[in-house]
Amino acid sequence: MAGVGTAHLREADDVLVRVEHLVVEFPVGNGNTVHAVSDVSFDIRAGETLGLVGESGCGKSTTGRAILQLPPPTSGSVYFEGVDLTTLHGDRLRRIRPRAQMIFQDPISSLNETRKVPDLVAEGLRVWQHPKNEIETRVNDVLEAVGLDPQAVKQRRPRQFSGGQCQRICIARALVLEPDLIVCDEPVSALDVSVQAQILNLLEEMKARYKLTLLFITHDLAVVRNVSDRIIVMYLGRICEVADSDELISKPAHPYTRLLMSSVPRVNPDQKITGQTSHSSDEIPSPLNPPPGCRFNTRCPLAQDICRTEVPEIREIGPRHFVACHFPVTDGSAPQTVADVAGIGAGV
Amino acid sequence: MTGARPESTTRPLLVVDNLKTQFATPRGRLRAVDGVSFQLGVGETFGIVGESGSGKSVLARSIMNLLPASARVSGDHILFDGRDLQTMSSYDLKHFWGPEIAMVFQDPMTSLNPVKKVGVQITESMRYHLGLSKAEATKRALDLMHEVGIPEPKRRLHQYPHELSGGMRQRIAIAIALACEPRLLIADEPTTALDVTVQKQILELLARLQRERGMALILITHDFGVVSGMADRIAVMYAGQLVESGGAVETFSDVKHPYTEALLASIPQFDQPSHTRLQAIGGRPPDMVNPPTGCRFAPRCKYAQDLCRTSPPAYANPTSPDHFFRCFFPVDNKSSGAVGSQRSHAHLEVSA
Repeated sequence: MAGVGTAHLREADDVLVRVEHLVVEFPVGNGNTVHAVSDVSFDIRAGETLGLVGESGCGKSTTGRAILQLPPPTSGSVYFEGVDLTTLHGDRLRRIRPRAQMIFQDPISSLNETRKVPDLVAEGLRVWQHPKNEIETRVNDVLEAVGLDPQAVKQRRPRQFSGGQCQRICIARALVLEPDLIVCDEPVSALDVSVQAQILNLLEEMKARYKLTLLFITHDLAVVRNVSDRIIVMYLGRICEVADSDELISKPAHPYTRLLMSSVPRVNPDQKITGQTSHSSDEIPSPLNPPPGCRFNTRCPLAQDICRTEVPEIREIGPRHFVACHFPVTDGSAPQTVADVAGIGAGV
Repeated sequence: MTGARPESTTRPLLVVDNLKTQFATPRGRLRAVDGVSFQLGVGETFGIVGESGSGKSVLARSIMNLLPASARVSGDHILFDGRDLQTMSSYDLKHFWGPEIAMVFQDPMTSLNPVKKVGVQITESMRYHLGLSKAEATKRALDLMHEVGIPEPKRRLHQYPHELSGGMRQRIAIAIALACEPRLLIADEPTTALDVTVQKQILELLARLQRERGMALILITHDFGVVSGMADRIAVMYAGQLVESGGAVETFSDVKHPYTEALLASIPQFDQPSHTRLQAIGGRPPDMVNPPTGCRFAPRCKYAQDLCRTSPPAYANPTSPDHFFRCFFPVDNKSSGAVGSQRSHAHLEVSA
């Protein structure tokens, strides 16, 4: 993976967010730099849910935060309704903020535990000095929308709630400002599976009710498949593959996407983990010193010489299906086991 | 203790009978584990699935006898190879942990000592339990590190935990647990903190080591996918109790308990199209200081009837000898043959 290019960007009037050549680097001393995001481009249409999936350190959260200018990217542009946010500062950037909100992974630590629920939810409105009676109505409305009884939670603080309920409070906090875009950074990763289902359903309901556009960041391929219209797979700061959700899951073409899919444990007692498949204990290379060429080449079963020297360009291999790989698997198969990662007949 | 191991397969390796673990809290006694019974054969893998707060980790620590002073363990007995762990002195336990039972925890960063080199941490128990010299222990540590898939073991020996990735740290934790060749390994969420591709490697590793060493494994997880691939037998835990258990294949193909059914149905699936509405379980698990009088799942169960709210169902095996569940109105999959589908309300007489 390791792809660059803009072939997958769309020419549509309703593009809400357009990210071009986003680069985020962090200096870490001794002249070293973490290459967190390296030349990533994508767009999100209004009303769409874009899933951003990848493992730890792939730059997915950094990308989400860079859209909101938290912190601003090292280079590249982030257009929000045609306005490049990276050129805005101070008050002009601040005025955009209510329109683009964020939900975080750990709902309990992202709430101030000393404050009561209605105050937590009202905070954004108070910052923008809305009239007091309007604040109360809007807070009550949004609490009800996320499934909390405004009267019952009035005097309560975050620690009196479970993780799932705290995530509802966080969602209410984001919604109360009536944003256009919500960046959801692993919003269900800290939750149990039964609660995860509640929150995913709630996000879908809220998306319809408030006409939201979502950027959904997660490491969980099954979750992202459920919520997204379009999915981007990232690896080590670059895009591997972009496609509509159904297409990506049924015909994954990038070897990394296929590795991810085959690694997800499925409920199928006939498919045993026997320990007979030999697994190299390959590791994700350090983002301090990412490999040249395709960044996935060190772990890729299909890698050849060109992969070690030339960064693959993102190109279209099917209808709205883009991949950044010199040797994508295009036999239309979905991998079931790790041996399938390289595709039929490729022979690992 | 370090003598020849009996290869008897007639007697189960571990028998847990009506185990109860309670914690004293300001609000009253919290019943974290409330009447759990199961048996584990030599070399067998037993998967325990449950959500946060179901008591699965406390169960593991109760078996290990590794609980804080505020905990009170009671129940009929916990027998490991015929010996009762609860009555063992702390001196005996010291010699028991390691060669007999070992444990791998969820977070390798907090279970490893941050200020000791990993080599020292691996050799420590071998020198203590097996009386090996430093050189012998180091040699064995290198073999172990090679066995758990750590590249360049010689160099790693002199590294500290923070210099390793999460996957490598968990491999070290597994090497430490295996150092004295335990007969039972308890792995409490061993892959939960890891990325999915690394998780796959660790699970393959555990499965291989277990096969090669004939070691029994208790695998505790919240992930049905993980136990499905690993376990010979599975159990589902809810509110301190096992609500269903049996052979993995049989249990998944013939789910009996509504909680198991609901939990399986709430997992997002690859083969469902995008935006499929998930089947969430309403409500939340009960407060274990004051659990419901009847079935503990009744307040959240869509099939609950009056009987469920008043009397607790027994843990019984009315349909097949190896399939236990705790429900008056079990799910009937026979008509449909699929997990998580319709049921008829076949009333089964369940007596205690």
